Formats: sequence, C-alpha cells, structure tokens
Amino acid sequence: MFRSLTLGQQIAAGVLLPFLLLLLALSPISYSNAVAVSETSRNVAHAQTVILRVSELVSNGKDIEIAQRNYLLTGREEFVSAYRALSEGQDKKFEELRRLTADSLDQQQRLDTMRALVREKQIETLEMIEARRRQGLTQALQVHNEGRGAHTIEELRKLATSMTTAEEEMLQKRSNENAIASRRAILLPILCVPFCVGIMVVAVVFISRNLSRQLGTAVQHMRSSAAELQAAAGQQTKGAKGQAATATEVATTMRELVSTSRQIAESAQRVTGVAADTTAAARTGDHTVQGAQEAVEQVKRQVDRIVAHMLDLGKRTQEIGSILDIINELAEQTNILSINATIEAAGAGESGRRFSVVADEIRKLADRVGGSTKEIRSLIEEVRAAATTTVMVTEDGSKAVDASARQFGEVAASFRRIVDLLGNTAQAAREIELSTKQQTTAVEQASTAITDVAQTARETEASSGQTMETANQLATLSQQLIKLIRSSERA
Amino acid sequence: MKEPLDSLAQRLLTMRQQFDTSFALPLAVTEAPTQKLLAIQAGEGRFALPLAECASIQVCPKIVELPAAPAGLLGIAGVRGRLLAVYRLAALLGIGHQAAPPRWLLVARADEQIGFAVENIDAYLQVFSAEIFPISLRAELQNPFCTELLVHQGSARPLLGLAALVAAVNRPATASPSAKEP
Repeated sequence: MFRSLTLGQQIAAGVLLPFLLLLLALSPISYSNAVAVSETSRNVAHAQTVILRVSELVSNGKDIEIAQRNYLLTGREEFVSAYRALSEGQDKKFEELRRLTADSLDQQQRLDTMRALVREKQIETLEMIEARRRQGLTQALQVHNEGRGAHTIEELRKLATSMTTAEEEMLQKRSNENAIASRRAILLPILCVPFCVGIMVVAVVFISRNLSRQLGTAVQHMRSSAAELQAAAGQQTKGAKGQAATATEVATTMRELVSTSRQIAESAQRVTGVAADTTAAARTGDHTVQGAQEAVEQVKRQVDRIVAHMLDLGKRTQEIGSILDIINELAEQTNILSINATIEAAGAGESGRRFSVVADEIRKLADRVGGSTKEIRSLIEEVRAAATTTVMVTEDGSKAVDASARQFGEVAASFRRIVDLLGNTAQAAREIELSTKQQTTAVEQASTAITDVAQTARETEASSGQTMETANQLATLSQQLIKLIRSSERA
Repeated sequence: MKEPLDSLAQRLLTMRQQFDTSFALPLAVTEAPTQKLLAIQAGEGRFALPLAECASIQVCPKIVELPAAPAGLLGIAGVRGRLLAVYRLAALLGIGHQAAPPRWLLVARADEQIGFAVENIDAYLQVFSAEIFPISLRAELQNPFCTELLVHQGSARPLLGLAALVAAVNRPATASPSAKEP
C-alpha cells in the first residue's frame, strides 16, 4: 500500500505520521491538563469572589453599624434611609453568597447562621431607631446597651473569618493542583519529542530506501520508455514526412478539383441560363403556335362559312334555274303564240301582213329570250359546277384545315411538353449548379483542411524531432539518475 | 363566264337598237321566194312542215283515250270548245318515242278536227325555196308523208305534208299506215 503512494505523499506520511502520533499522545493529556488548569483557575476565581463578597458583606455590616450610630447620635432621618439602603444591599449580598457557595454545605450553614444573626441585629437596630425617634437618645442608648449587638457583630466577624479561611484553604488546595497540572503539561512534551524524533528518523530511513528502490525502478522504466520514445519519435518523424508529402500532393489535387468544380459550376450556371432562355423561347413558340392554332380555327370557321355560302349559292342557282325554266317556258309559249299569230296573219291575207310582221318580231324576241335563257342556263350550270368544285375544294381545304388544326394542337402540346421538359431541365440544371457550388465549397473546405493537415504534418515532423531530442535528453538523464541512485546505495 | 360583262352590255345595247330601229324600217320585200316552215321533233325524229298547213298550235290538252282506237290515235281532246282527234305524229311515222306524253298539238288546216301531238317545236323557219329539195334525190329517206327535204343552216330535216297525213288518217282503217301504239 505504501508503494502506491506518490513521492510527496510518502514524504508527507513520513513527516506527518510522527507528528500525528505525538499529537495523539499529547492531546488527551494536554486536554486533561488544560481542563484541570481551567477548572482550577475557575475555582480560584470563584474562591476569590467568595472572599471578596464576604469581605464586602463585613464591610457593609460596618457601614450599617456606622449609619445606626450616626442616627443614634444625630437623630437625622437621612441616616435611617442610608441604613435601610445598606440593609437591602446586604440581603442581596447574602443571596449572591448563597448562590456562590451552593457547592459547599459548610459555607451554606455559616451563611444561614450569619443571616439569622443579621436578622437579630436588624430587629435590635429597628428598636433602637424607634427608641431614638420616640424617646430620645438616652432611651435609645439604653436599648443599645441592653441588647446583644456587640456580641452579634463579633459572631458575624468570626463567621466571616471562618468563611474566608475556608475559601482560602480551598484556594490553596486548588493552586496546588494547578501547579501539578502545569508541571505535567511541561514534562509531557519534553518526554514525547525525542520519541517522535526517533519515529521520524525511522520513517525517513524507511522512506528513503523505499524511494531509492522505487526511483530506481522508475528510472529503469524511464530509460526503456525513453528508448521506446526515441524509436516512436523516429517512426513518427518518418510518418510525418510521408504524411506531409502526401498531404501536399492531396492539397494540389484538391486545388485542381476546386478549379474544376468552379468550372463545372460556371458551366451549370450557363446551362441554367440557356435552359431559362430556351424555356422562354419555347413559351413564346407555344404562344405563337396557340395564336396560329386560333388563326387556323378562325380559318376553319371561315371555310365552314364559305362552304355554307357555296351550298347556299348552289341552292340559289337551282332557284335561278327554276326561274329560268319559267322564263324559258314563257319564251316558248310566246314563240308558239307568235307562230299562231303568223298563222292567223297568213289566213288574213293582205290585211294580215302587218300583223305577221309584228308576230315575227315577237317570235324573234321570244327566240332571243330562249337563246338567252339557254346561255343563262349554261352559265348557271357553269356556276353550279364551279360552286360544286369550290365546295369540294373548300371541304378538302376544311379537312386540310382540320388536319392543320390537329397538327397545330399536337405542335402546341409538343411545345407545352417541351416547356415542361425544359422546366425540369432548368430545375435540374439549377440543382446541379447548387450542388456543384456546395461541392465546390466542400472541396474548398477539404482543400483548406488538407492544407492544414499538411501544415500539421510538417509541425508534427518538427515536433517529432523535438520529441527525439527530448527522448535523447531523457535517456541521458536516466543514465545520470541511475548512476546517482547506485552511488547513494553504495554510500 | 363565256362573255365578259362589257360584251353582254354591248349585246344588250345592240338588241335594244335593233328592236328600236325595227319600228322605223319599212316592211321587208324579198325578191327570192320563201316558205314559212315549222321545225318540230316527233319522237326521236326531227322534221319540218309548212306553216300554212297548220291551223294552230296548242299546248297539248288532256287527252281522253278511246277504247279500240286505231294505231297512232291517242284519243280525243277539247280545244277552244271543239273536240279533236289527237294522233301521235311519231307513232304515225313509225318512229320510236318515249312513254311521256307529247307537249304540243298541231291542228291541221286540212281538217281542223284532227290534231297531231309532237314532243317539241324546235323553231319557226322562213327558208328560201332553193333550200327545199325533192325527196326523190334522197332515196334513203323515202317516206310516204315526206315528199321534200329541207337543208337549212347546215342541217337537214324531212319536210312533212300534214295534208297527206290527214288524208291517211281519214282513210278507212284497213289502209292504216302503221300499227297501233302500245
């Protein structure tokens, strides 16, 4: 257990243990001596107090006697007042003495006797005061002379003297005890100190040997540790050099990586801008296509209206044809009527000749009307054919417009998909840009950390050199310590 | 459009001027002899006949068929308060025709109780006599009712004689020229 203590603890234990033993030995004795001295001192003081109070009591009795005599001689009431005040103070002194001498039955009995005597004296004094006050000095002196006043005072003095003597004897006895205790308190350290010094010498010798042995062992350990430390420092120096070189290469690579990451971030930013521009252009194209689609829808509606109008035109041409039939019928009937008129004119002979001319003119007009209706019919047929062709062409155009509208719808849907895809592309580009920036920041931090590692490796290398030097010094020191310990052991 | 509007306007103006000037011209007196003919269509054949042999031309009225009527007789019809025997000219001439009823009725001057129904009246013609040739010159067009041939404005039409037709239908039934119409 002792070996587990530190050097300071062992030295402290070697020094403090004798002191503790001395203290343990002296403490009860010193305490009992101190208690005895204290008790003796207190008893001495108590006895002196009792003697003083007895002395005061006697002195107070004298003062009372003096006040009594003064009154008897002068008859002045002020002496009566002084007498009463002194009497009351004497009662208090009796009480105090009684309290102080509570541990002494003899003293208590003496106090009781003294108290009874004082009572008797007080009664006698009161009778004298009354005699002086009522009957004059002569009568009072008679009372005084008849009384036992002198005897009582003598007894009181004897009792006081005996109390004082008793207290003085007690005081002497306790003084003797105090002297004995003081001598014992003086002798005890004188006897204990050599003993403690002897213990300390033994402890120091023991501790010295123990410490030499432990120091030898520790120095041996320190020597081996110094050797190990030298080897470790060498390895550490070598490793630190390699680590510094590697960290330098990694730092160079990290700087190149930072440069590459920045280029990637800039490229991603440009891609984001291009994607945003493309998205805007695609939106513009989408709007344009939507406008074109609306225009195509408008064209489709116009074509539908054209078809409707052309169909209505065909219907109107049919109506015109019907009207032409009527006109042609009228022309034909007019022609027949003119022929009949010609026939009738021919039957009328010479008188019908002029009528025949009119009939010819009517017939010619009818022929012209018929010819014109034929031309109109031909024209109507041409118009109808053209309308039919137009309707067919327009329907083809309408179908083409429908197809164009569908294609425009598909193009618009494609543009919307392109816009969506471009939005996703822009979002992805932004995410790439952000990630690349974060990566750049991380790589920069890693580069800084690697630079710090390289610096730390170089510092470690330098520190390893210092450690090597310290290990060498430690080995030298351990050699010196071993020599010192061996020389001390031989000594 | 075959003709532009300006041309049509010019044509209208010309017609109006001709019509207006016709009232100022004296009656035309032609030196060459002319004949007034009527170009008709009977069935699938086109013919011409002298206008002088027609008493009148009527729109073919409602024809009431007669039981056991002779060939070519469509029935009888009322025209201006008179009953007429209506014959289908194409049937009388033995020419194929459509089932549709004829439109016009030619009343013969030789017998105004007989009418000939034809499909169409093509035109009134006033032709020179030199444009009419005897039918003997065209043996392939031999027909008992066509004695002459009209060649007018590049087209040829047999010239029918309504009087011969009237005489033929008025002959007894045994001498009927063609079969009964279906």
